[in-house]
Amino acid sequence: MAPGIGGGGFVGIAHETTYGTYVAPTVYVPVLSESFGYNEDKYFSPAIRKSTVVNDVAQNYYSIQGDIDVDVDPATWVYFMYAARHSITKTGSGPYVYTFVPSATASASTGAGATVAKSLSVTVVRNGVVFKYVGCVVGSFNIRIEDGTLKSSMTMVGLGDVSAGGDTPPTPTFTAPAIMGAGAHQIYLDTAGSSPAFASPSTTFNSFTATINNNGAPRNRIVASRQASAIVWGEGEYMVTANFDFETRGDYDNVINATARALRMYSNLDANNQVDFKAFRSIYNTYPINLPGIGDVVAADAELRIVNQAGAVGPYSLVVTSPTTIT
Amino acid sequence: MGKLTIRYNNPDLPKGTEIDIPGVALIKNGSQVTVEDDVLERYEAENGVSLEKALAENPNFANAPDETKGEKSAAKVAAERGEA
Repeated sequence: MAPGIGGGGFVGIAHETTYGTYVAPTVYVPVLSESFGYNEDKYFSPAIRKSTVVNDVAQNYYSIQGDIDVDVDPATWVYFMYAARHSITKTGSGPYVYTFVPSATASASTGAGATVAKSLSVTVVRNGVVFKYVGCVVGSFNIRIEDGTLKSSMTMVGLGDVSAGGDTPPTPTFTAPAIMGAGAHQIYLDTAGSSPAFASPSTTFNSFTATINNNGAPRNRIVASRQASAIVWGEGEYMVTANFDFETRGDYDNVINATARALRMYSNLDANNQVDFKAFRSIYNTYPINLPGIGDVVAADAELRIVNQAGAVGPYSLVVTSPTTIT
Repeated sequence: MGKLTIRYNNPDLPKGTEIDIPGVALIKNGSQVTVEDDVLERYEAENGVSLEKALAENPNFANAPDETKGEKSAAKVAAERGEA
């Protein structure tokens, strides 16, 4: 086959009915890049037999791991949030409003219903060749404002690849994109609490990234299959990193005193496409302030760790308004 | 090769949502379009697989042929080619 380029490829997804059983894609997701796939540490036998070079190799257990980076489009991004470690509620009759909060679930699963987490079958076509990854969930993800646009990088973990030579590439379909560009976003800082008012948006933020890391990892058990047996989640490590202009001493004092702050990032493209992220209690972990150069603005690259807030719906809430209905 | 009428229905999306089938057609969710034979030929040349067979891999497509107008279902076309 002739060489191919990235733009000729595509990614399709579908929620699974049975965990780890492939479902042909029903939704196609425009991606900025993807880097996930087959992951195996082969066993190169170091058995000594009068040679300093290994003599043999054996297959090992494997799993599916890697990243998918996207412009956040609520029509498709919501499918991925169902595959993250979330408790879910759904309201509305179009647009639909999904509220995701962290759950303490230990391992990935799938099931029917709008309030049930779901795994994904992910189909990737690279240079005309089909890859079919099953049992995929979002082990960690970020939402960030980059180039004025809301983007998300998701680290996927999955059970296995069920593709075979000769698989026919499906016909992809795409809805008109709803990219959340500059002008759609507002950042708020407030006093930590279970229901902060977030009355006035901040005017000093230059960047914002919320990283939701649930340490999703494949678990390979000794069974008659090389693919992963389960995806387990570990400690929930939720962070916000942001660069903002240093204008008052107050935030520096918050670092010293470990004073908690509430954070909100609200992106509103239109009535059908909104993302509202709230962290109810976050603590400055780092807040380096310096004089970077003669012509540079005095700003800080702050890192805040999100911790539990008594009375709040969760350490964070993520509300996605989308034209898509998940059932 | 003959033209092909295809129907698209994605229950997750509102009826009437415009769906782009790259290089083939723009179709509204819950409706159908007819694809002309030159498009079918170009699709197969570019993708190495017939549109009929590729459509069968996407569950949101079902065929709505009008055989009185010479249209054939994707399944019928694929069967004639021995691809089914």
